[in-house]
Amino acid sequence: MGGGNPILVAQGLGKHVDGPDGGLTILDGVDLTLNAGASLAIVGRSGSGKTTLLSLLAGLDVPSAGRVLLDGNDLSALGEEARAALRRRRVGFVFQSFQLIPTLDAYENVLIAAELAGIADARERSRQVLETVGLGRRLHHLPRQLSGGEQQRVALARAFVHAPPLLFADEPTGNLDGESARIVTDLLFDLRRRAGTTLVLVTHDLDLAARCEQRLALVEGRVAAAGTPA
Amino acid sequence: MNLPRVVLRGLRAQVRQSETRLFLVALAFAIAALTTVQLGAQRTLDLLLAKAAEINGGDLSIASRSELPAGFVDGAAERGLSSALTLSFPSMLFAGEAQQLADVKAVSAGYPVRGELRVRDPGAEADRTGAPPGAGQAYADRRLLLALGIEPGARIELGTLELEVAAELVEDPDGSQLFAQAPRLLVGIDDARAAGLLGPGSRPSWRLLLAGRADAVRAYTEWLRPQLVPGQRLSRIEDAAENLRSAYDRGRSFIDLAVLLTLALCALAMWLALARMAEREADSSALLRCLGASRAEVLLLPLGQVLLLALPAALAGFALGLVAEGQVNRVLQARFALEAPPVDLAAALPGLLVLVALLLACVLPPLFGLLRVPPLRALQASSARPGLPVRWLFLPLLGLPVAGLMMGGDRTLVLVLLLGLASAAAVCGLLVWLVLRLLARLARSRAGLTRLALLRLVRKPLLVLLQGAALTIALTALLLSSRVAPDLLGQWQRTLPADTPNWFVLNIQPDQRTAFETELGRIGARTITVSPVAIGRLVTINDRPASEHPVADPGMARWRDGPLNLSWSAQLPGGNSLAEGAWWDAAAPGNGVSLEQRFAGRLGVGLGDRLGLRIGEQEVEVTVANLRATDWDSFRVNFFMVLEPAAAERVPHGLIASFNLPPERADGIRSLVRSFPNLSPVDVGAILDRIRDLVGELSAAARALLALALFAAALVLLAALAYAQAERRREAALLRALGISRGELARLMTLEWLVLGLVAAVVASGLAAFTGWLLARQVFQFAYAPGLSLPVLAALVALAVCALAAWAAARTATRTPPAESLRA
Repeated sequence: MGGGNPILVAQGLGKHVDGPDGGLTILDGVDLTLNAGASLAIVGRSGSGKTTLLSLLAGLDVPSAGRVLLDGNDLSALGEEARAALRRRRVGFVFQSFQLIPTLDAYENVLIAAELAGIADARERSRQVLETVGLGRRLHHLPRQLSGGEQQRVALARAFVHAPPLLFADEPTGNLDGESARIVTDLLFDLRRRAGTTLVLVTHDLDLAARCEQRLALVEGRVAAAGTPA
Repeated sequence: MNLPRVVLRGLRAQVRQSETRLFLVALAFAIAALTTVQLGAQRTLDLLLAKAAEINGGDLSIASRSELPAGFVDGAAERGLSSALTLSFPSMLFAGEAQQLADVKAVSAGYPVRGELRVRDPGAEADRTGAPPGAGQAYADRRLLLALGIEPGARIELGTLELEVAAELVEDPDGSQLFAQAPRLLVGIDDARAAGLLGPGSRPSWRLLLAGRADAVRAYTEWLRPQLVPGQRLSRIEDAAENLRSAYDRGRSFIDLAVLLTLALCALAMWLALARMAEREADSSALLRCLGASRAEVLLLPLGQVLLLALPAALAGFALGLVAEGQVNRVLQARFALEAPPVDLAAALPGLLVLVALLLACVLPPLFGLLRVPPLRALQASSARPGLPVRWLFLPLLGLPVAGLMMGGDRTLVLVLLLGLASAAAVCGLLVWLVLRLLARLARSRAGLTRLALLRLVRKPLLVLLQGAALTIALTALLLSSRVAPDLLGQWQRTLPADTPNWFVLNIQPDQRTAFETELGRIGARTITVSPVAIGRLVTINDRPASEHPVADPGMARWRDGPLNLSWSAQLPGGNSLAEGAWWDAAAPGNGVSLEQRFAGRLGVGLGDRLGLRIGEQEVEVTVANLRATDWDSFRVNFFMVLEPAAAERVPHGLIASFNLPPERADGIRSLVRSFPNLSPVDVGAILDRIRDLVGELSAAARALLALALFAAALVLLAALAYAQAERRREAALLRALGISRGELARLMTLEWLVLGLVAAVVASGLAAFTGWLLARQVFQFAYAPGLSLPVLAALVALAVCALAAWAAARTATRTPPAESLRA
C-alpha cells in the first residue's frame, strides 16, 4: 500500500482467542503499510475484525501473530508501558462510544490529554480546540449533560489537542444521527487536514470510507480487498 | 416470561460475579458466627455458669427458716436434677474444757451438687475430695480446730451427741463461707436432727441445693415458683454474690459485643455487595422493562437468584457454625474438665431462622432500587441510576437492633454499638462532604494528575461517601475488636490485681483497732481497709412503716424487713463512684445516707427519700443524699447502705477489715487469732481464685469471638474497595489509551485512596475511642483511657489498605490490555 514514508506497518498480523467452543481466529495474516499524512478506511461487516485490527495497530492490544511498526517502533517488542508512552506523544483516539471521563467536564476532558502530551499552554490550547469544534460555550458541561454529537466533538477535540501524527477512529459516527454524523465527519477531516495527521478509520459507512484515500476491506478476519476507492 | 425458569437459567452466571460471591461469603460467615454463638456461647456460658455454680453451691437454691417440703426434692428428681439438703444453725461446741460458738452445717447424701468438698485427713499434708461426713463423724474448719485447740481425730460434743472430727474442712463449695461469721463444723443431716438442737427457739436455715441441665433448671424454676410461700427464697446463680454476677454480666457483654460487631459488619458487607449487584443488574432490568417485563418481575429475577443462592450458603454457614462450636466446646471441656450440656438444636433453630430472615431483610433493600429503573435507561445508560428509596433504610435501622436484642444482648450495649457504627457513618459523611468542598477549591489551582484525582473524588460525592463510610466503619470495627475490646478485657482482668483482699476479719472491737492494725502490719498484710459495721433494720420509709413499702423485686423483701449491715464514712469508700447526688460535706454535718444504686432501684427508693432505721436501741432518721456505683469485683468490704458519720454517732458497732495476705504468709492468721481470740477471720481467697478463673475463661471466649469480628471487618473492607471498581478500571483503561504511564496511574489511584483513607482513619480512631469510652462507662462500668496507639494503628491500617487498593487497581489496569477493558 504505497511507498514513501511509512508511519504504520502491519506484517502477518493475527489474533486468536480461546472461546467456550475452542479456539477462535478473529484476525489472520493482515499486512498493510500506511504513509504519513495518508488516510485509511478499514471496512467490513460486523464481526469481521475491524475494531480488533485497530486495537492492534494502536497498541491497545497485543497480537497473537505478526507485528506492528508504528513510527518505526516495533510494538511487539515494546511493553505496555512503552506503548503507552508512544501513544501519549504520537497517537490520538476517537471511539464509537465517545469514552469521555464522566467525572470531568468537556474542557477538563480535553485538558487532561493536553497535559499528558506535555503541551506548554495546555489550558489555552484546550479552550481553542473546543471552540474549533463549536463547543466554546459548553466548556463546563459534564458528558452526561451533552448530546451524543457534542460528546463526540469533545472526543475529537481531545484527540487533536496535541496534533498527533496518527489518529485512530473507531466508528466515530456509529452512535450518531445523520446530521450529527455529518458535522463530526466534516470536523474530523478538517482537523486532520490542518494538523497533517495520518488517519486510520474503522467504519461500515461506505460514504465515510470514500472520503479516505485508501481502503482495506476485511471479511472474517482476512483482507478481502485493499487499495484506493474507486 | 417464565420467571422461575429465567431465574434458574441465570444462576450460574450470577454466581460467577465477584459481588455475588462476596455476598454469599458474608452471609455464610454471618450465619456461622450466629450459629456458633447462639449454640456455642450459650453452651459456653452454661459451662462457665456450671463452674460458677460451685460458688453458689448449685445452679439453684431454695432457702427457708423452716424445713422444706419433701415434694420440692421429688419435683427435682422427676426433672433429672440432682439435689442435696443443708441445714445450718449456730451452736456451742465443747471439746474437753474448751468451748466455741460454731456455725454448724448439716448436709444430706449427694452433697455437694456442684464443686468439691475438700478435706484434709489427720496428719496429711495435702487435701483431698471428700464425701459428706458419715454417721458419728464431723469435719471442722481450721478456725474451729484452733479455737478448740484440737486436731483432727479428736472428739467433740454437739448437743446430746458426741462426734469424731474425722478431718479438717478445707473448702466447702456453697458460697456461704464468705458470710459465715463463726467457725464451721460440717456434720451429716441425720446426726444434726438427732442432736436435739432443733427445738423451739433455735434458728435453723434450710437450703435445698439443685443442679442439672439448664433447660431442666428452667423447667423446675417455673414449676416451683407458684408453690413458694413467704419465707422461702429461690436464688439462681445470677442472683448469688454480687461480684459473681458482675463478672458474669461483663463476660456476657464482651461476648455480645463481639457477636453484634460481627453481625453488623457482615450485614454491611452484604449490603455493599447487593448495591453493586443492583448497579450491574440495572441495564438488564431496563432492557427487560423495554421488552414489557413488570416492575415485580424485574425485581424478582435477581432477588430470586439471590435467595436461591443464599440457601446453600446459609446451610454451609450453619454447618460451619456447628463444627466451630463443637471445636470450641471440646477445648473448653478439656480445659475445665466439665461436662457441657448437649446442643439443643430444636430449641435453637426457630430463633436462628428468625435471625437469618431478619438479617436478609436488613440487607436486601439495595435490590429494591431496581423497582425504580426506567426503561429509558436502555437508551441512555446514564439517564437514571437505580436509587434507593429512603424508606427502605428503616429495615436495617430497625432490624439490626431487634436482632441484637433477640440474641439476648444487653440493651445499652446494642444501642451504644449500633449508635457507634451509625455515627461513624454520619460523622464520616459530614467530614467527607467538608473535605470534598475543600478539594473542589484545591482542584482548580492544580494541574495534571493531581487535579484529575481530586476532580474524580469531587464529582462522585455519593460514591466517595459510601466508600469512605464503609472504610470508616470497617476501621472502627477493626480498632474496636483489635485494640479497644482487648484493652477493656485487660482492664477487667486488672480489676483483680495480685493484692486484691483475700481475707476478711469480722468482730473487731473499736478499742482493738490500733493494736489490730499493728499486728496486721507485722504479719505482712497489704491493702488493709477497716470499716465500722453495725446491724440495723429499716423501720420507716418516707414516714410510713417499711413493711408497707411496695418493692418492685420480691427478693428485696428480706432487706426491707430483715437485718441490714451498714457502715458510715466521711469519704466516698474506695471502689465506689458517685452515680447520683453529691457526697456530703464534712464541714456541714447532716443525716445523709448513701445507697448502692442497684440496691436503691430494687428497693424502690431514690434521692431525697427519708429512711427510719433502728440500730441497736437507737432510732436514726436519714435522708438519701446520693447513690453509689459499687465495683463488686474489688473484693473490698462494700455496703449497700453507708451513713454520714454524724448520723451514726453513739451507734453500737464493731469493725470489719479486709486485707491481702500472700499465701506463703497464711500462718500469720494463726497468730492474729491467738492475739485477738474474739476475731473471726474469713478466707475469701478461694472465692477470689474462682472469680479470677471465671474472668479468665470469659475473656478467652470473648477474645476468640473478637477474631470473628476482625474477619467480618476485612469482608467490609473488601466490599468497599471492590465497589465501583469496574468503573474505575474502565477509566484507567481510557487513560492508558491516552498514554498515561503505570507510575502516573499508580500515583493517581494512590492520591484518591489516600484522601479517603486519611479521612476514614481520623474519624475511625476518634469513634473507636469514643465507643470504647462509652462502652466502658455504660456497659462495663470502669474507666477507660484510650492510648495514642489507636490513631497510629488506624492511620497505618488505612494507609496499608488504601495503598493495597491503589496498587491492585493500578496493577489490574496496567496488566489488562486497554482494548479489553474498553470493550467490557
